[in-house]
Amino acid sequence: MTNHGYDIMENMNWMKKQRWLIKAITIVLFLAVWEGVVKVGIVKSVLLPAPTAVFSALMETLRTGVLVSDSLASLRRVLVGFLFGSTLGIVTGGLYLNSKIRLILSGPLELIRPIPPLAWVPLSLLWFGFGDPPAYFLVALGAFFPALSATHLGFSRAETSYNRAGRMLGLKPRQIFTVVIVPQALPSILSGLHVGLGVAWMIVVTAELVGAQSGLGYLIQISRAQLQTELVVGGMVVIGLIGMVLNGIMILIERALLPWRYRGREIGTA
Amino acid sequence: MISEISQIEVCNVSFAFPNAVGRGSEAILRDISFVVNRGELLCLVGESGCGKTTLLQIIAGLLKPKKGEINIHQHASDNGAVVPCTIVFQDLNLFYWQTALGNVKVSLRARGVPEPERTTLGLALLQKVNLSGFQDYYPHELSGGMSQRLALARALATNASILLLDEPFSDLDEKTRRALEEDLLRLRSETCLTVVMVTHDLRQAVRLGDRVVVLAGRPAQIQCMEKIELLRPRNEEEELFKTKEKLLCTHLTT
Repeated sequence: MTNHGYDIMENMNWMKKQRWLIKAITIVLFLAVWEGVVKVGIVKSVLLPAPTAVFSALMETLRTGVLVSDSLASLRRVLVGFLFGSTLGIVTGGLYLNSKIRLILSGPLELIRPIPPLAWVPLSLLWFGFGDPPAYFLVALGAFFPALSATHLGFSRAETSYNRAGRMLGLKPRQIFTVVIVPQALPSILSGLHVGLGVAWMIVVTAELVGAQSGLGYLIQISRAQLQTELVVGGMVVIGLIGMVLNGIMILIERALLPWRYRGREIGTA
Repeated sequence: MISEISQIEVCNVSFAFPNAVGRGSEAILRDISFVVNRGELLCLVGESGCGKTTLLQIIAGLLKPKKGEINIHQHASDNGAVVPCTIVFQDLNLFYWQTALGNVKVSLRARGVPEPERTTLGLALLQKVNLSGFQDYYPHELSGGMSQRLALARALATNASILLLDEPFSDLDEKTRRALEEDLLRLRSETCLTVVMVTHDLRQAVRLGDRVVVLAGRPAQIQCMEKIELLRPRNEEEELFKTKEKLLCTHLTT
């Protein structure tokens, strides 16, 4: 029995070392099975095109520039809406430090929060018409609440013992806020932005399915109407890839702004 | 060495905390008066929970006394200090999001030292407490002794002429503690600091203090105030050392 346990440990070790290899193999295997299933005719290619067909359709849209312009349209909507919504969320979260302002604002905001941003689509089309403005609004709405909650949480977790320490070092109240309180809230704020950006990307694509004339959501919707299924899937793949890149950028930003979190423990000697 | 110019006057200070049960208050300190001279190292000794940390925080200005007052005399030589006194808390409260150098630079920033000098001065201060080469370490990467040194450097960076220490070096092993005590004495003579130190360790008080004040009772009152005129470095095995310690010990337990 003990020998058996040892084997499992060895196995786990081996799996850790080969993680990337295993991932690559399973992805290739997945694509191969997919390709085979379509090529053999088990699934009609109009319902699920083969990976090679998806790839060549993507190459074609890349050549004509449609893919780039649609991606840029979606990215622009995400970035404008995200910047607007998360800035407003952070500022509101900061205002929450004042308990009177929090008391006034939190009631109405808690009423609005549970409404999914996509439920605002019809209203936003009425208010802002078609094109970019409704997308800005919906994305901003989606990014606002994660930023607000995370900022409020971050500030409320800041420990007052550090304020006393800052005061005894001669910091003025304004400096205590920027030098002592904000850095403590920063990890939480950044994770709120991280979540908000993910939400924003989901919202923009969905919003483009109904109310836009450009963007990746529009691309997959119009391709479906034209029965160009390989472009529907190709658009989905690009949506996934851009989402991954946005996520990676947020991780890099967190690493750059929170260096103390990513440093190992090396105990020195006294 | 010690000029008899008073720097801190503690005048008839009483203090009470609101009672946990609700009504009334619990007296912690009663009618405490003493003077700390410029350049003096004064040790406040008392058993755990006797109110000595409270007294230190009152001197620091973090708590208001219920009665009495604290007078602190600034001197012309307190150059650029924005606070007359600074404190090293028992749990240090190092800023975990800043490197060692960053922690020291916070005090320099508070003093309005501009940036290029801030770094040079910060590095010089780290060298003063034997932390050269550790400027880019974060507090969680430092050992207990090194953290104490950093807290000391950060306090010294304020240029305050009074340094308050709450149970310094108490969580350290014997050897590290001794090394830090030596450093404290050296830094004090280099910078002409006035030091008020709270400790429950009577032997540490006799080892370091120019004067020892013993607090005891509930509410705490001053039981005795004793000058320690032993030459430095002090030897704990010496008869005079032991006599002083015994004498103070009798007051501690009453």
